[in-house]
Amino acid sequence: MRKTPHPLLSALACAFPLALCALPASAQPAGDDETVQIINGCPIWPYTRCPGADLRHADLVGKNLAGADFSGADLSRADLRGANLSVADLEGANLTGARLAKATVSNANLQKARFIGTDLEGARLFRSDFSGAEFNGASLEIARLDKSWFIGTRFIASNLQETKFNQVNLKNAYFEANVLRYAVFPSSNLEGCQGCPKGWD
Amino acid sequence: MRHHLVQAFTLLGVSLFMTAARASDDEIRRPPVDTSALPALAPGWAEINPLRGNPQTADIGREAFNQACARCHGQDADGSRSPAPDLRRIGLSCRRVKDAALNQRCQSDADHFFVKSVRYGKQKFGIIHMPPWEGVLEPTLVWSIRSFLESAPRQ
Repeated sequence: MRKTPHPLLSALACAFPLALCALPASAQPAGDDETVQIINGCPIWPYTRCPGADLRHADLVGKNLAGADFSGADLSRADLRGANLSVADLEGANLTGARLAKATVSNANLQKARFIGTDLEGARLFRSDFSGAEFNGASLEIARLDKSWFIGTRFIASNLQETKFNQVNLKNAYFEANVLRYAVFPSSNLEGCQGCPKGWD
Repeated sequence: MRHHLVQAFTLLGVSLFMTAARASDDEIRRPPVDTSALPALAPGWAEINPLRGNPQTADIGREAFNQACARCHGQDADGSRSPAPDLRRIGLSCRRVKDAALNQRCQSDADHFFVKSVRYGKQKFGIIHMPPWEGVLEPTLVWSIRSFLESAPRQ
């Protein structure tokens, strides 16, 4: 049996500092009696195997989904804010209208995934493979994409303000009508990229 | 002149020795661990660790782990100060799943991820972070390592 803290202590902890209370659910110790969330037959836990799952509109805020197999899954309008999708397989997944603000999607496979109107503001997208993916009307504002690959990826009408394209591979990528204010591309491969900003080679 | 030649040959010898030692270090091979005390497993890779709960597996797994994996994942699986991830965390969240059938599925998912990582390694963008152990480690040894990791102490 896990002891629960005194309510007054909890209240004080939440009053100051506020950041402690804003931790995602995955960062908080879970009780022994935690019930498993299952959506359309897909259990929500790390390493879950749900290829092709129907997770439209799923509330997955702050969930730990590290190593999950969501290849070909439909995550349209799913709420994944602050979720952990490290090492996840999202190849061919549909993330139309999904919310991934401040999510961690590092070392993940996102080849041919669809990001139509997807919110990835402030997301950590390190060392992931977005080759063949499409970003259309998406927001990647202040997202960090260090060392990720975007071979043949399409960025159209997306918000790339302050997006950090550090050491990324944008070979044969396509940029059109994006907001590129303060976006940076240091040490990146822009070979064959159409519409990529100049002066970063 | 002769002194310089001796120096040059010494340097060449040292560098050749170091290259050979490095190549031998990078070469992956099955650790010499005796698994004869473990039950024979059905051919192929099971969906869930068939050796889970077997009291002999943890010691054998520990021995194999320390010879094959500890270099990156830490001695006795203590990954807290290791360059590679702490493997004791894989499947840890399954302990909170009380429903028996769901717990089995959770363990199976974690086992699948572990076995896939061992068999095919971790290769990203042409960089080999972990070599594939397919054909080097047999299922009995891999499942033993998995059992050890589940029983390994956590600080």
